[in-house]
Amino acid sequence: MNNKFQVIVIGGGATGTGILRDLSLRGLSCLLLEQNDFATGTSGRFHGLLHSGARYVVKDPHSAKECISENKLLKEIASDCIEDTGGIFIATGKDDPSYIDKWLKGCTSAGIDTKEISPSELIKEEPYITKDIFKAYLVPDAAVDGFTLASANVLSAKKAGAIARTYTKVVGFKIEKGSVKGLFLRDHRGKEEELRCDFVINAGGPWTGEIASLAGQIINISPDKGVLVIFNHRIAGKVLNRLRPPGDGDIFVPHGSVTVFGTTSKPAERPDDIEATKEEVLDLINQGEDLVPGLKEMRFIRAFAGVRPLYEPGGKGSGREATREFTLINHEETGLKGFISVVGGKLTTFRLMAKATVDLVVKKLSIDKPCITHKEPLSAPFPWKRLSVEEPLCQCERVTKEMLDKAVEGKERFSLGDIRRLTRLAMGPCQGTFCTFRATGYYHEKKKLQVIEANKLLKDHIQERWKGTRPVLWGWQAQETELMRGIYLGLLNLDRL
Amino acid sequence: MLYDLVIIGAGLAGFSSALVAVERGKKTVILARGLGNLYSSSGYIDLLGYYPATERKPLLSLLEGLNRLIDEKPAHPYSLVGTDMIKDAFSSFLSISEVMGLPYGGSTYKNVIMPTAVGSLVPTTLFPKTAERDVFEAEKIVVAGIRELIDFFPAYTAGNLEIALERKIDFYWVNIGINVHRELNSYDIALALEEKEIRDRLLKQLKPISKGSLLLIPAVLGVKRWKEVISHMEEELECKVLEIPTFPPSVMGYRLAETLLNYLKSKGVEIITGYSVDYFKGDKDVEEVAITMSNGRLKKFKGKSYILATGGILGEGLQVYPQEIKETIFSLPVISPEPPSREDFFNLEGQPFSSTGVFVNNSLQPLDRTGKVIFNNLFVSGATLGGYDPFLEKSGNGVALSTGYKAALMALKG
Repeated sequence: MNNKFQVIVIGGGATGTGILRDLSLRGLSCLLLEQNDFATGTSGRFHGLLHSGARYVVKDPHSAKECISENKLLKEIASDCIEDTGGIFIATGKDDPSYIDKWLKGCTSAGIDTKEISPSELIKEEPYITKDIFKAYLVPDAAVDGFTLASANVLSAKKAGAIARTYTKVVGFKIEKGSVKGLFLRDHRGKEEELRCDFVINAGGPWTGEIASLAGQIINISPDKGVLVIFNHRIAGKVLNRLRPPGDGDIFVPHGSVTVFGTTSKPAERPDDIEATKEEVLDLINQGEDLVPGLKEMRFIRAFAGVRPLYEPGGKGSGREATREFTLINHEETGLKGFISVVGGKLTTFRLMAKATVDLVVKKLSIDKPCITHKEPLSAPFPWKRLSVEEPLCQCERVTKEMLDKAVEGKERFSLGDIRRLTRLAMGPCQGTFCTFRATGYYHEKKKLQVIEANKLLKDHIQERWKGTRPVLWGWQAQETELMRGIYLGLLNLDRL
Repeated sequence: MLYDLVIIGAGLAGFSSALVAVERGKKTVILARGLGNLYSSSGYIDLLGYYPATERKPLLSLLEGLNRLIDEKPAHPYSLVGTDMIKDAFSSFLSISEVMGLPYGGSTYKNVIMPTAVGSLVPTTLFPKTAERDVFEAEKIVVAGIRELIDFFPAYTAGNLEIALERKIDFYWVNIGINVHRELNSYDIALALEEKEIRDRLLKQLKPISKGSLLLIPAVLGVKRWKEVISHMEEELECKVLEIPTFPPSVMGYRLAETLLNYLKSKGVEIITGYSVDYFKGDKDVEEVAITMSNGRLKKFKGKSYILATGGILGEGLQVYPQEIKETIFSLPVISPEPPSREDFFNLEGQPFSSTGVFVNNSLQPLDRTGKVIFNNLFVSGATLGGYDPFLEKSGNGVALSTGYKAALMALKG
C-alpha cells in the first residue's frame, strides 16, 4: 500500500468522512484512519435528526441558517441516508406562549418554512401525542441515518481515489522542524506502521483533545453526555419537537420500525462515557411525558448515550449554553505546521464543516481547487431501500441474505455490530433475539469462518445488545430478555460453549 | 359450581397439578390468559443439568447433585419439594406419558446429553422416547439442515459438535421443495412433512448420505403424526434419527403441550384460555377469582383451593417495573433482586432479576414479608417461585413438574 499521502484525516464520523470526501473530490491524495468502525462515536450515537434549523432559530440564528440550507441540499443529494418525514414543533399548554412569536420570527429570518397545523388536525395525524396543544407548526425536519451517511461519504471518497481504514488507531505524530510529516499507527492486530503526509486533519470528535495531545497540542473539549431511549415502534410519523427553548427530552425521531427519543445534556467524564443509567432514563422519560402522555407504559427496547464534543474557545459555557457552531483550530498558531483540528458543530452541517476545513488545507498547500461536494450525489454503499425483500433473516428490519453479503464485501474482519450499523440488522423490536443466531449461522458457512470465530461473533453481539437493554430492564424488555436468556442459555447452552 | 381445584396458568406447572387432580378424581378448572411457554420449550424435562449453576461440567449422577443442592440452598424450589417427592413427580409423569400417547424416557438417576441447534451439548433428564439416541455411541453422525427453515445451519451445528465430540461430522443441506414466498418456521415444516409426498422428496435427498448413521435434523418431523413420520424415515433411510429442538416455535414443545392439554380435557378438566384472571375476593382464604369475558361481564370461579402457576417474567406471572417486581394476580410480595442485573450477559452467576419470585413456605403457600401465610388455600408453583435460575442450571421444566405436583398434593390434602 501507498504510504505517502497529501492529507491524512483522523476520525471516521460524519465530519471526518465528509472531509475525506471533499479532499478526494478536489483531487488530493488522502487517507482516513478510524480507531473503530465508521460512525461508532457521536455520529452513530445521537437522535438521528436532520435539523431544519428550527431548534436553533432563537438562540443561534447563524446555525439555524446553515442547518436549513444543508437540510435542503442533503435531501437532494443524499436521499439514501434520509427519510424525509417532516417535523412538528408543538407548544403545549405548559410552554411559554411568548416564545412562539420569537420562534416564528426566527424561522422567517432564517428562511425555514413553517406551516401552522390545528390541534385537531394534528391529533388526527399523530394520535399518540398530547391533547394539550396550544400551537403546532410543521417544519422540514427529517430522519438521517448517521451510519449510512458516514459510509456514503466513504464510498463517494473511495470512488474519487481515497482510502479509508477502520480499526486503526493513531499512536503518534512524526514531527520535523515544527511541521507534521507523518503519523504512527497501530492496527487491530497490534501491528505498528508509519505513514508520511503533508497535512493531518484531526476530526476525532470527543477524542479530538487526546489526538491533539499526541502532537503536543492542547485543545479543551468538554465532553457532554446525551442519553437516548429507543422505543419499539414509530410513536409518530414525523419528528416531534417541543416549541420551547431547547431542553431535555423534547425530540422524538422515527427510524425504520422504531423511535429514537432524547436527549439530555450533562458533562461526561470521558469521551467513551456512553452508558446510560436507569435513573437517567427515568428522568428523560418523565420529561417526554409532556409531549407523549403514556410514554412510561410504552415499550423501550434499549437506551444508550452519545458524547457531544463541545468546544468553547474561551473555556466558558457548557451543555446547552455552548455553541453548536464549529471551530477550526489551525495549530500553526501554536507552533505546529500541517495540523488542523476541527471541533464542535453538528451532523446536519457536516458538509459545511468539511468544506471550511478543506478550504483552509488547500490554501496552505497552495492548491487551487474549489469544493464540489454539493454537486456530487451521496449514495449509500448499501441502498437497502432498493434491494429485494426476499429471504429476510432479520424480520423486524427486513434484512436479507443479499444485504448481509453486500455488507461484508471486501471485509476480512467484521463484527455483527459492523453489519448492524450498515443494515439495521437487530435494530428492531426483538433486538437480535432471532437474527443474531441466523446471521452467525449464515456467515459461518458463507464466509467460511472458523467455528470459534463464529461463536465469538454470536456471543459478542448478544453481549452488545444486552448492554443497551440493562438500563431499560423492565416491562416488555425484561420479558424479551428472559426470552433471549431462555434461547441462548437454556436452549443453546451458549454460556458453556 | 364449587371446584375442588382452580388452577391459574396453562404451563407445565399448571398441567402437572391438573394431572394429580385428575388422578384423584377432583373437579378441576384451568384458567389461563394464553397457552404457556411450554409450547416454545425444547420438550425435554430437565431436572438439574448443572450444580452449582456456575459449574461448566454437566451433572451426571443426578441424585447426588440434587441432595447437595437441597442441603446448600434451602430457598430453592427443589428444597421445598424434597428429593422423594421430586422422584414421585418424575416417575408419575413417565407413566402418564405412556397413557397420553407421548411416551417419555429417562430417569431421575442420571442425566443424558443431547446436542443443541448451535452444536453444543446440553444435559437433560426426561426426553420423548423418539430422542433416545446416543451421540457418543453413534458410529457415524450426519447433520442435515432444511433450506426452507431459517433457524438451523447444519454447517455451524456440525462445526461445534466436531469440537464437542472430538470427531468428524458431515453436514448436508436438503430442501422440501416448498416455495411460498415467505419464511417458514419449524411448525410449518413439521406440518408439511406429515404429507407423504413432501416427505418423500426429503427422503430421496437424505437416502444417499444417511445409511447406518445417526442423522441429526431440526425437530420438524411432524406435529401430530410424529410417530409415523419418524419411523417412516428411520426405516426408509436405514438409520437412526435424532431431532434437535429448534428456536420457537418448537415442535417438540408443542407436542408435549398439546398432548397434555388434550389428555387433561379428555379427563374432564375444564380449560379456559384467552382471558386473564383480573379479580379475586378473599381475606385469609381466596373465596373466588374471576375473568372478564369479551362482553365485559365477570365470570367467577369458586374453588376449595387455588394454584398459582402463571409463570415468571417470561410467562407474565411476574411483571417488572422500574423500581419493583410485582406478582400480577394477587399482588403477592416478590423478592427484590439486588443488583437487578450483571454486566456480562453470560455470567454463570446468573442475572439476579431472573431468579426472583414470590416468598413461600414449605407447603408452597405465599408469605408476606414477615413470614406469615397470606392465603391458606393458595399454593404457588413453577416459575412464579424464586430462588433458582432455570436457564443456567437447566431446571425449568423439572421445577415446574415437581412444584406443580407438590402444590396439587398440598391443595387437595384438606
